Amino acid sequence: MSTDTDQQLIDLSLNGNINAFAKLVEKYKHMVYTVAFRMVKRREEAEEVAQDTFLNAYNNLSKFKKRSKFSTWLYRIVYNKSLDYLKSNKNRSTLELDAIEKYVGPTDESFFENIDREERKEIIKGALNKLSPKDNALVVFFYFEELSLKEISKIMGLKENAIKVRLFRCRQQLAAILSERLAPETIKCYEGRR
Amino acid sequence: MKEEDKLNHSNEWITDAIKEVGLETPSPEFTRNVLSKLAKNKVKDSQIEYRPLITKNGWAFVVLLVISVFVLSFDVGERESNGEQTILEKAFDFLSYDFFSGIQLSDTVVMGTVLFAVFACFQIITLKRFIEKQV
Repeated sequence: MSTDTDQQLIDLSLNGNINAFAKLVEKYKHMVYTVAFRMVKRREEAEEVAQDTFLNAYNNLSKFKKRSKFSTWLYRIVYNKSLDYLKSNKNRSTLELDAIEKYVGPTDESFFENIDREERKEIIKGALNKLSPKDNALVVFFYFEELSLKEISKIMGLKENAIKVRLFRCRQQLAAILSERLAPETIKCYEGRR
Repeated sequence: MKEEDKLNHSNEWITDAIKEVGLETPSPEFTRNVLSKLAKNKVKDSQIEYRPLITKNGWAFVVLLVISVFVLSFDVGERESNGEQTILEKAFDFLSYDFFSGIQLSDTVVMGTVLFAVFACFQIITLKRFIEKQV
């Protein structure tokens, strides 16, 4: 069963095989939950949104067109559900895109081993938390799922050029935030990896 | 290093930094919760009774009406030859009596109303397809 494709699992689910759908849930739950969490920024609510996403997907599985990938379709559902949740709860984290601070480059030597890995992750998560919900979703789709701009455009309902611009501005914001919060030595170490 | 070069240079290390964070993990009972909600919804759906917009009795009435009009229309031919006013003619005379006298509608109003009805029907179909695509 590990070689089952998404379409096989969908067909089995449509025939009433609930275990097949459970496999789809297991396969995509991390990504769906991550998108929901990065957008709504609260664990319990993100869990609720992610669960509703799968419920919605199951109820509308017969309407899934094979033109796009199942994952693209699923991410579109979670993206829209997260936006609906934010609209209904008016719980938005906004970051004015114009307020980008001046970038200050690293200057010191590398002291990578001195920074705890978990601490570093928390700092980066904190920086991601400063982004708007849509920008957070964009970061997840682009960096974690490595979706193409075309696929992201289908999910978010934005033109590819708009996504490019948004991505560029996200990176600028993150660079500005992280250059303040991370030690210059840490940044130097990331750069040294490349 | 120029400001622009610094920014471009910074973007490369951000990719590594973001990827290091990794995906979030939902609760261990996540899948079980989804499946149990699915099961609950199935039970709810089976309890919902769907009623048709037009009942069987309603359809029977409509069919009866159509048949009556059809039968009466045969009566027209027979009475016309005798010079009597048919039942339908009497009914239409009653309905049109003084209700619509004096009302004059221009061609523009009639055409506008017809076009409005056509576009309204078109929009209903288009909107229905659009809403279905949203899912």
